[in-house]
Amino acid sequence: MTSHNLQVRNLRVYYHTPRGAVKAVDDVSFNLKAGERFGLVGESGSGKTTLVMALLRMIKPPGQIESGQVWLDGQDVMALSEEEMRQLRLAGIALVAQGSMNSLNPVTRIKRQLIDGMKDHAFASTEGTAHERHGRNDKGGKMSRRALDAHARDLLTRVGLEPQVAAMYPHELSGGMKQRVCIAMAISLRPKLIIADEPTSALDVVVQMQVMETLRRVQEEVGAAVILVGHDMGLMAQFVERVGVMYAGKLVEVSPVRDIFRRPLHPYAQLLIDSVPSLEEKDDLEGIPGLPPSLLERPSGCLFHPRCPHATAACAAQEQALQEVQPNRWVACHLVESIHKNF
Amino acid sequence: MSALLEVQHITKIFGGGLFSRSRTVALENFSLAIDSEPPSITAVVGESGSGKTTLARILLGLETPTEGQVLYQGKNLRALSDAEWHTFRRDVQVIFQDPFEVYNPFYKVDHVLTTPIAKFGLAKSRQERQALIEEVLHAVGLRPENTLGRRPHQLSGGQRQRIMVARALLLRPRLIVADEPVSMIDASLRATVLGNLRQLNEEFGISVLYITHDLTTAYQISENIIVMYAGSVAEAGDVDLVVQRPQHPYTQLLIGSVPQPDPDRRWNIEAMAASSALPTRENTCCKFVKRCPHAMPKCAESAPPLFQTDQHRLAACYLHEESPSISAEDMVSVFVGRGDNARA
Repeated sequence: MTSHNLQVRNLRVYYHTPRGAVKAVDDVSFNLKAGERFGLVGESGSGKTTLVMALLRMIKPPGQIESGQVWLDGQDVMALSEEEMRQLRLAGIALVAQGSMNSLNPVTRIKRQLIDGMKDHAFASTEGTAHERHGRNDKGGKMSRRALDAHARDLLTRVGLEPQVAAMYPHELSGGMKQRVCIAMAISLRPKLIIADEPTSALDVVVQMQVMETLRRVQEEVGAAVILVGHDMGLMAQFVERVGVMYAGKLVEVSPVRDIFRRPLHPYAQLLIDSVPSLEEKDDLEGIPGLPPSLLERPSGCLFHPRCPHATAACAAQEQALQEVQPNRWVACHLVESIHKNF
Repeated sequence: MSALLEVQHITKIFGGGLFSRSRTVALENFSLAIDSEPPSITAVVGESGSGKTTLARILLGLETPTEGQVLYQGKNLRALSDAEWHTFRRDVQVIFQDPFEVYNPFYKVDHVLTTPIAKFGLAKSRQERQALIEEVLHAVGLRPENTLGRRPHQLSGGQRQRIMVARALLLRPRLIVADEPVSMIDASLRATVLGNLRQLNEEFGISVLYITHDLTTAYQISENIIVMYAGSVAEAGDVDLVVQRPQHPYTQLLIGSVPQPDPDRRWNIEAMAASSALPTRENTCCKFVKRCPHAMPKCAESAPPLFQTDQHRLAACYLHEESPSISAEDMVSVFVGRGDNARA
């Protein structure tokens, strides 16, 4: 168990509305190894962003973390005080949010913005090769201004930008460059986990490839695990090692990326993969039939059964929990064995 | 016979006024003719800043080109009479990128369907209006009972965008300009909206100009494709040829960057190093020269014309200069559908 860098156990996040509780994340459990790249996919409203925000304890009312545990490197995240949690953000868990490039302050130079977080977290270091030594406590005293500047320039070089970018304002940079600045910020304190929530959804394909490859490179250098949130199965195939498929607030399949693309076990994962248009052959252009359920009026039994092409009476009656059906392959479906005969 | 909608040698420059030092050439000497017979689907593909949205806005009459003209049935868009303008507004419909912004949250979604009916006097009675609305909703695969009477926020992005397709269909236009219609909706819902566009083309004989940054969806629905780079055409022609065997280095870079849903087929990382430079916006050289892995001295000296490398394909690249060159306004003559008709 200790080999896992992040452990999430029975996490539940509900939004309390006048019409009842919306179960945006319902009993989700998964583990991440140190340095692992994990993809979280699902349609809009499946709860993937709520899930990662809960890891950062950034759920705002009417949302509330109902129950569950999150452990990061043996530290119980849910038990931390507000101040300890504030220190853990960026230093322990960093976020590259959707469209975070638009979150840069337009009237402040890039350098200031990179340094801000480091200063706030009392980024400490002894003299010399400043940026190679990292501690999050105050023991070594705060870094000198010069060392912080050097560190900022070093961070920019790491994400493939010119050090001169430090002196620029956000409007002087392209979207891809801004997104790389955000990645530089995310790795500035060598976090153990980087959460990337649709980091490239606003970028062109060529720039997307550059940004994702940059993220992969720095993540490997820093040794951080990554959770990539998105709905682009193509991007998942290119970037992550393991995929978790979310549907209506629940994980319905968690499998290594090659396995899930070769043979998805959950019918929903199958449909998601089939709905990716191909560059090789012209498809029928069919999406997934039906709509995701309203989280206020959830169907009985398996939440996917009204849209599932294989659904039986048993599916409407009872829900199947996520279980390991093959080594490292977890799926929540009654029909795994009947659909996949040669199991 | 003149084309339904045509742009001739248009150039659009933003900025560059008397006191401004910066000017951006968004579109340069671009020509395109769109016929309504036979109905076709043409894709315009390019990254941010390639001029594709400027082209859409000029075609719709929302923007005036700096040079060149827009012709609707052979007549300059600026010289149309009120009556002709009215027909133009009916013949040419648009579907915008953002299915959230186009709805007024205070109205029910019915509003976007009843307004054009009233504006163009399509129905004489309430029943007739209802029948029309139900017909177009069915055509795009929506159930009227689950759609009408709702507020925009009660519907998904995909549903809202399908209502926009239904609205366009209501007017039985001859051309739909769809500017990134699926880029803001879930991947799993994209196929349905694209399927609707293809259906409009096949069943109702409506031509579609599909503007996108996404090569994959362009490949899926169009017959011909125009790959734009920094305001100029890089490659154009039969979509199968362009996507399966791209000849312009820019098209090759684009296709290599598409994330394939297959973990064993990695995207083309080698192309990355060369690809970070910004496009050159001078018209005295190839705009791709700084990013091109095959750049030759010639490429920096003059802009390449369109070379016809196949019966149905053009590439603006000196790597193909042994092929005959063709002038920009004749681009569509190599398109699939048009050339075939001419011979028949």
